[in-house]
Amino acid sequence: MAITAIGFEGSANKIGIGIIRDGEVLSNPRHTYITPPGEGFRPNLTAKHHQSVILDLLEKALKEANIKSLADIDVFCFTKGPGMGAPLIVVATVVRTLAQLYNKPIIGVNHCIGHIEMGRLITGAKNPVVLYVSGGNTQIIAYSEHRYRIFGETIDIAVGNCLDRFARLLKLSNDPSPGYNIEQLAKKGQNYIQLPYTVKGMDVSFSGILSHIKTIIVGNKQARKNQNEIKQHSYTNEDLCFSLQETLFAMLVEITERALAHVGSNQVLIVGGVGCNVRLQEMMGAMCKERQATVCAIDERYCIDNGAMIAQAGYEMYNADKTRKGMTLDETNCSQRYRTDAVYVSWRDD
Amino acid sequence: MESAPPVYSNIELICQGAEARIFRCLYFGRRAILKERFVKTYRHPDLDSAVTLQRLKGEVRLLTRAKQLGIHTPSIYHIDWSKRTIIMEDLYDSRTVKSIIDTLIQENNTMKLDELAQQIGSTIGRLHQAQIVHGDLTTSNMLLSENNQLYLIDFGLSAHVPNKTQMLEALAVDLYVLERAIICTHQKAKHFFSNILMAYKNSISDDKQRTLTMNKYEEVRARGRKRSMVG
Repeated sequence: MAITAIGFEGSANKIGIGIIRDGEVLSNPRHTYITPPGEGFRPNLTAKHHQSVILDLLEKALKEANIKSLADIDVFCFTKGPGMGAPLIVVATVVRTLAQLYNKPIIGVNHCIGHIEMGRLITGAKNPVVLYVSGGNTQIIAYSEHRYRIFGETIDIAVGNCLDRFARLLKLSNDPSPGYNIEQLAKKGQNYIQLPYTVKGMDVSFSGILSHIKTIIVGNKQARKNQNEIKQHSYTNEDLCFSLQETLFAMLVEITERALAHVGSNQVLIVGGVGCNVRLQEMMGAMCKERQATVCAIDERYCIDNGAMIAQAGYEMYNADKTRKGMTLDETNCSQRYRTDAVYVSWRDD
Repeated sequence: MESAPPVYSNIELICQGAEARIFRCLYFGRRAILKERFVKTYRHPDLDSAVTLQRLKGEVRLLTRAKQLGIHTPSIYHIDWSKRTIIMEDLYDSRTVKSIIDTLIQENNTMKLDELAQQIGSTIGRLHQAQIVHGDLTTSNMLLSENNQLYLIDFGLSAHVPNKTQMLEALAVDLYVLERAIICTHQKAKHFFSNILMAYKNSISDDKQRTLTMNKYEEVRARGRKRSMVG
């Protein structure tokens, strides 16, 4: 019998609801909370945003999937964590209510696992090394013995966070996303500015780069004020975007290559919001070409946080559990800290 | 006219690591390893040459320093800057510790495993005592020769850190990298890392130094855990 799963995602500034039936995406609408340039998204305002759109979004998801009633859904899935507390709770509350109204099982999904499982579904990659890069996470992951193990990760801020905060410094627009706007400006960058390059074994660090680039931006502003200073010392925003991307992504590709060599795999899967950056995909492709490996990249529909990925991971978990009971209500809480390697992967037997 | 042996001959690719291509060759008729840090096409050329030359220089310098401490490392024969290449001793009768662990686990040889952990721990301890961090401690970067001598290879990410506070941080990260490499590659080798750590602690003679390093190490471990707060 076909299993229809619905997934609710709202761990950051996007809220998404997706419906999946045995690996086929029926609908996957999403709404993004966009803040003015120079500002990030605050947890309480993000939660209010999610609250205000979640029911309309649900209606849209059902309509697009051509599903008449929630009674036709077999399992309700939601993001248990990691993420921002307030938005997570808003979504979890709605899901718990609906599932009890229709007397259906609930599955709480680890957000990172959602990205990985969606990536595997879309690309068909069997056992790839996964680079998970987003606003809140930067991890290099490989599967082994029923766990997605973290090989390397950032020791301070996530790569997407570094990009977002850089965009705020330059007052770039947050629409559709800061990263997208940086990418467009970077295409026009000419000069490469040396920035710190911090790879520590399998780990990376980004906060020093952000501080460094801050001092350059401040210096830039002063140089423009004192017009008598020679223009050589001032860089364009395009150059800054270009250099930042080149440096950050080179570090990411390097640790991915390290993991590939160590695990002996020949497939890379890039997931997470930063994963839709075409320059990152290109660089990863160049690295893979030299090692006779392949890159599986996915487009913004599934790279960026979405509901379908939660439905897919939840479906796998539900399907692997023969009791078909889902989680008890006590287990459907949220957690801001929920590591990728904390989840026992019951649905893979390799 | 009798000709001298060619500089390089019988060049044969043995593997492509993350950082470099490794070749076996004859260097003036002698068995040697040729490590070429090939151009990374994904990196901006300026960034690539800066990173590569820095690592090449570091590797040569620290390989030599480690040797001075009595740690077994391959001897360096020649450096070719323009080709970004180091030519060094070929440890042809050795195997990687990674494959040895796998064999020992299959044979269920816990005694030999404990011995190996002991050897690894004390070697790293000796390196760290001299304020040197390896930077990429994995079981693929350790070789065991036929007569049971542990060799450390690939010093491309290593550094000499004389500054006291930076040093503690660097040592702790070095240990943490090894711990995770072992967890990821050798799930079945239970207690292997804790045995390494035990031997490592015993190799530090200064009590205060030992406590400080271990505290820092715990701090670094916790740091990894805390990540995943937001997503």
